[in-house]
Amino acid sequence: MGWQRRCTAWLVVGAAALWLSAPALADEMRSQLEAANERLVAHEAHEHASEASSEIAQMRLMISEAQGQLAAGDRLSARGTLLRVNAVQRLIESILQRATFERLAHERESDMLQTVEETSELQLQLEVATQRRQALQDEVRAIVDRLEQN
Amino acid sequence: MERHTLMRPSWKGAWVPVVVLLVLGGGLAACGGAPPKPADLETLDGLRASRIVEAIRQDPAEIENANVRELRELALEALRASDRYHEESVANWRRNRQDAAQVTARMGLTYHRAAENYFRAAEARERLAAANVSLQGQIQRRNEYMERLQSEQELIAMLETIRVLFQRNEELQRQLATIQEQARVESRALYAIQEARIEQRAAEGMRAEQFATSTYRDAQQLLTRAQARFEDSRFEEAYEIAVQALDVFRRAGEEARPRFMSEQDRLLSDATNRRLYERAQQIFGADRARIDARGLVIVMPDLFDARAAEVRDTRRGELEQVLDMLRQAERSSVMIEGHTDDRPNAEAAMALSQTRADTVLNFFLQRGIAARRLSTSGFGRNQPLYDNRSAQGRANNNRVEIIFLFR
Repeated sequence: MGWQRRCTAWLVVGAAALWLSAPALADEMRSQLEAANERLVAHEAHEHASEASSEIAQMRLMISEAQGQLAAGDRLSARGTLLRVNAVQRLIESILQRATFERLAHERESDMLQTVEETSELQLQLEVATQRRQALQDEVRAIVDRLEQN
Repeated sequence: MERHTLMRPSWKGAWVPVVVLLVLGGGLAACGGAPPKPADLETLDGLRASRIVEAIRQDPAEIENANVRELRELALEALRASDRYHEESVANWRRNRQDAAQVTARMGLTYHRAAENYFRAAEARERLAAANVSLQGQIQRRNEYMERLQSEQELIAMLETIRVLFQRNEELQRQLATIQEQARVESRALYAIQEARIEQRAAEGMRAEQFATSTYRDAQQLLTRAQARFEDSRFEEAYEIAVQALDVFRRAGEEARPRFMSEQDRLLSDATNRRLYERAQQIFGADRARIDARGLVIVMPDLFDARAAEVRDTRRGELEQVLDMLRQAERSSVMIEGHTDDRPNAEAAMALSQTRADTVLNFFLQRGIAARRLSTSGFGRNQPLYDNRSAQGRANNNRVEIIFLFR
């Protein structure tokens, strides 16, 4: 039975350690929630926040839920909710990144298309101008020839 | 799961419920089959089979663009998290822990969506990079075209200026040619009129107005018409009529010649007149000393410089010879007529010709010739005796004519 006593002793020590570390874990989760809340505020201020509005609302609810669970001492549920908060936060961040770069790419592609159009237009103008210049050169040369003949 | 572990303080008698649970589970499985799959897990399974998942799983390490690589790494990381939750959900489902299976499947879905979004963001970032490169190229091309266009436009502006200048030059040349042609036509008409006048003077020398009255009058009318046309700037017509006038004056002179010769003979039958005439012919030659209705006419050409009223020094000797003749023919009266070339305007020519006549008059007066014997008149440029088209002709027309009036 010696191994049972040793096991029981270890279990008691473990339970004591858990009991002693419980406030520290709660503080850690609170600070994680605080950080998540700050990120939420930053996401809300993002120019593409409307693209992730439902996720942002969901994250806000989850943060409140986790805070409530922590306040009720239900750390296990709070931990689960915090994991979900992190997942949704990552989702929101990905949505915002996607929206931002798609917009930028679209804008740059539009700029490029516009520049292509401008370039084409300039090319046309250049062709017309070159023809005009050549015609003028011919005209001037003809006048000079006439003047020389006279 | 952690909670379950913590709630079991000892292993004593633990095998009993485990065996019971296994028996019950086996029984349930044998009687009812697999539990229903949660909807989110079904969805997640479907998503995991899509092509994009394959693309996300590709190793991003070889992607050159660091920004794209970073997003692809985030996508892969999120997909792996999704994988972990998927495994957990499947395990929960197989253990018939529906709630846990649903929760983890939802977590897996969330990470899966995040992975897709990161992947799309990476694609957009790649497009952005490509668009940036293309845009730079296009901007460079556009700027090149703009520079070339500007250069062409500057050349066009320059060429247009040159063209305008050359066109003006051409126009001026055309105008000059027109003016030259007009001047040529005008001067031809003018000289034709002058030649007609010279011929008129020659005819008058034959007293054509008296001996060929009708022809002379016709010629005079023609000359008047020619002059009128000329003043109306109808130079071609003026020329034609003046040429006709010249012919008719010439004909009038020819008609008058026989009667004039007999009249001249009559005038020269007077011994004094004949001596005077012969002396003049001896000194000045037949072309400058002639008889007309008035008497002996002595022409003194090229007596003055152009526009001047002072007798040229080299020609004073001729005036001295006329002075001698005046002294010898004491009873003769003398008319002095002044003339000019065609260069001064009509008014100035008239004044100058009168001043020239007065200069010669003073010359004689200062040398003792009585004023009562002398008279003057100026004819301006109206009675040229020589052709004004040549310098010599113009010089000769700057003259006086001294007429010894026969009684």
